Amino acid sequence: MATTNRERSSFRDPSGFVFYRDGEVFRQINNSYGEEFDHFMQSGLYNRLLAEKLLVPHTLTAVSPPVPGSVHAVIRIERIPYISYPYEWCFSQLKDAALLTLKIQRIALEFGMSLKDASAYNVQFMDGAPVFIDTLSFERFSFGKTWPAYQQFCKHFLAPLALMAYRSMELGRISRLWMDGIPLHVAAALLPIRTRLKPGLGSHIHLHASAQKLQGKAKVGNEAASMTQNALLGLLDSLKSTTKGIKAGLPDSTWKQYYDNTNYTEIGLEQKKRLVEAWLKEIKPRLVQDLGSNTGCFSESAAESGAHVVAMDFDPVVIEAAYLKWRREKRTKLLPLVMDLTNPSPSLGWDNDERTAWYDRLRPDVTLALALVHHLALSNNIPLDRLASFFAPLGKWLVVEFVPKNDSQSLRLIQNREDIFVDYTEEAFEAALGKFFAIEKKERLAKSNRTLYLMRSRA
Amino acid sequence: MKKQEAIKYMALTAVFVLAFNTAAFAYIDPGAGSNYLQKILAGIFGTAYSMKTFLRRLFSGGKSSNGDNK
Repeated sequence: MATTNRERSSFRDPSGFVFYRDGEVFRQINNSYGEEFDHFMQSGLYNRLLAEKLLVPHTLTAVSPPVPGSVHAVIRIERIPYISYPYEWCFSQLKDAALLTLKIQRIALEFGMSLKDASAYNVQFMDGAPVFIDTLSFERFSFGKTWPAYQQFCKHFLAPLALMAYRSMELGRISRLWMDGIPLHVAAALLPIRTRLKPGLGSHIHLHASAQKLQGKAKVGNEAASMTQNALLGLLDSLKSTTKGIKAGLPDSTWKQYYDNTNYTEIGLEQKKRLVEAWLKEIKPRLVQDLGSNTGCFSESAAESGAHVVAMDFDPVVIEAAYLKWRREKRTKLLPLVMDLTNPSPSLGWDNDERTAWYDRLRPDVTLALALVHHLALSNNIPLDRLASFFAPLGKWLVVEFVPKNDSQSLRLIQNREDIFVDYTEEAFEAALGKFFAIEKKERLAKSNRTLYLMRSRA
Repeated sequence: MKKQEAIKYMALTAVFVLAFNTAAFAYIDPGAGSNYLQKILAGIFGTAYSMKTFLRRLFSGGKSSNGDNK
C-alpha cells in the first residue's frame, strides 16, 4: 500500500491540507471549505489565474483521501521543482512575490472572492517566476468588509522589503526569526526616521505599528458593512505603489565591484564551463545545486544539461544580480537563493518542523562546489574530513574544485593570519573525499594549480 | 499612564470607533488595531483612488473603466 505523508507545515488552515503519496503532491479539501472551493473553480477565477500563470496548476482526482470523514475533494498539485522560503529570497524575489499576491487579490475581487491570508509562504518559485501555491486561500467576499490579510501582507512583505532597501540587503534573512512575518514595531524601530515621511511606509509600517498598540484593548467590530469598494481598491492600490516604490538602489560601483571580483576573470574559466557542461550532459541530472554560485555563471552551464539548477550563495547582492539577469533572460530552469553554507536554513516553526532545513530538502543529482572549498577550509576553518562528510549525503555526483594554498585567491584569504592549514593539500583532499566518493574524472585547470573533479558517491 | 498618553489613546480610539466599524472575521487574526487603521487608510487611499480613476477616465475619453493594476 502506498505511503501517505502529510505535509508538516499544512495544519493551520482547517480548510484542508497537503499530503504526499507515490512521489506526487495532493491536497485534501475539507467539507468546511467545499462551497468556497466550488466557487473558486466554477466562477472562472481558477482558469483566469492559470491563464496568467499566477497559480500552481492542479487536477481533480479520485485518490483516496487521508481523512475521508471530512473530505470534499482531493486535488493533485503540480510539483514545485525545489521548495524555498522567503528568508532565502533576494530583494527582487520577495518584491515579485508581494506584487503577485496583490495582483491575485485584485483579480480575485473581480470574481467575488478575496485572499483570506497573505503569507509569503503561499508563494514558491517555478519556471523562473513566483507562483501562488495555496488553493485554500480564496474565500467568497462582498465589498463592505475589510481585508483580513492586510496586517499579514505588511509583516510578510513590506517590512522585510523596506529593511532590505533602507538598511541592508542582508536583513532579508531576519524573516527567519518570526514565522508570521516581521513584527511591525520591530520594523518601525529598525527603519530610518525618513521612512516615516513616506506616505506608503509611513502609513503601512509606522502608523500601523502605533495602531497595533490598541490590539489588546479593542475588538474587531461586527456591525454593518462600511468599507466601500473604492476604499478597498484604494488600499490595494496604495499597497501596490508602496511595494513598487521600495527600491534596493545599489550604486553602480557596488555592482561593478561584484562583477570584477568574481571568477569571471579567472584563467581556465572557459575550460571549467566546458567540463561542467560536458560532464552534466553525460549524467543527465534532473536537479543540480550550485553551492557558492556567485552570480551563477556555472549554474548557467549546468542548466545546459536540461536540469533544474538551484544556485546558492551567502551574498544577497550576487543572488539579486543572478535573479535580475535570469528574469530578464526568461530563464525557467534557474533558481537563485541566499544560503550561507556555514549556517544553512535550519528546521523552523512549530515543533521545529514547519519549515524544512536545507539539508533535509530534496537532494540533487549533482552538487557543484566550484571555487568554494578554499573559502570553507581556509576562511571558516572547516577541516577536510568535515567537508567530506558535509558533501557525502548531498547526492550521487559531486563536481568539486580544489584550490591549493599557493593559489592567489587562497593566499589572499590567509594573508593576515597564521597558516594553520598544514593538512590542506591536494593529496589530503583526495583522501578525505575518497572515503565517500570515487574519483571518476580529474582535470587540471589551465594555467593554474587548480583541479576539477567529478566524483561519484560510494553510497 | 501619563495624562498626555491617555488623551492620545482616547482620541485615537474615538476616531477609530466613530469613523468605521466593520466585521472582518477570518481564520487568521486581522488584529484590532490593524483593522481600524485599515478602514481609515482605505478611506483616504480610496478617495485618492476614486480621483485617479475619474481623472484617468476623463483624459482617456471614458475608455478606461477603472484604474486597476493590470
